[in-house]
Amino acid sequence: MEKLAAFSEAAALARCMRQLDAKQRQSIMLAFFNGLSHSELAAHMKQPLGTVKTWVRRGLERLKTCLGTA
Amino acid sequence: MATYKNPQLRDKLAAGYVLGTLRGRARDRFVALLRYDFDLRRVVAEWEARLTPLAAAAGEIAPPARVWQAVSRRIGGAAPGASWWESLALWRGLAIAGTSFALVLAAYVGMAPRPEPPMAMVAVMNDDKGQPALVVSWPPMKAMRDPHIRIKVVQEHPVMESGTSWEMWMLPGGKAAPVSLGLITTDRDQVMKINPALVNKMGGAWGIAMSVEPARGSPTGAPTGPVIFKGQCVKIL
Repeated sequence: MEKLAAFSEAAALARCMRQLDAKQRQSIMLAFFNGLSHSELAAHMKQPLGTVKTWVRRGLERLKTCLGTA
Repeated sequence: MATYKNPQLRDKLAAGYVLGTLRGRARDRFVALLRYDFDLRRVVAEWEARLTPLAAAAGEIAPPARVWQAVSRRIGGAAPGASWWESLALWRGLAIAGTSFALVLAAYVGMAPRPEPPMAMVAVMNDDKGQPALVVSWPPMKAMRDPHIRIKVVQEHPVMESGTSWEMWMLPGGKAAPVSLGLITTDRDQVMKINPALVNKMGGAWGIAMSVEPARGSPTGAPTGPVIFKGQCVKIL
């Protein structure tokens, strides 16, 4: 049952991640898996710091909403 | 700080904390806050529940080499294989070499001549003017595998004429006849081997004498030439 629960959580997260904009999804994935900071994200994605920060924040908000209603 | 009471900000900081984008002093402040803010820990736990499945989805991957190097630096070690100093082969080799050397050394010391036992008898032999010329001494004869006496030159010898030799005699004392110990071959400090048959008599020696004899020694078994050095034995052991 734990595996099934973990599987369903992962599935829900994957579904919600797919609903994000590509830039939001990419910035969150880079931060989570590669450990990039906001400024490193900005350098990596060649975007202004504020823009990247907004992508991350909006992406996380949408994830929370998506997972909350799932 | 009042701003930490803003629910949106708390949620955003918790999300950044879990995601890893909250850095530096902002992260330090947040961690300090977590210690006594139970509700904030709940917010963090919710974000961990949301994002942790990402890690499960990724499967296992090897971390980049720089991660291990950084960890190693922080715990004060060195990266594996980084230095010849840490080579197992090196230390194994040194251990084997060291043990071998110790064994060889032990064998060498075991086979080396043992230190001379303390002297048992000493005779200071004087010339005809009463000046010391030779000192003869020997350890307990029975304790020796190769019985010998030590002859130390104190005064320069008179010139040994060609066709002559110097013969050492042990004087048993009383009216007993002198016993030949052998011929001196040089005028330097030397060790003279003693006939094992004489070993038992050496302990009772009264004196030592040296006479000038023909090249091959006394033909009669008794001193034939002039006695140039002689001295009394002193038992010291």
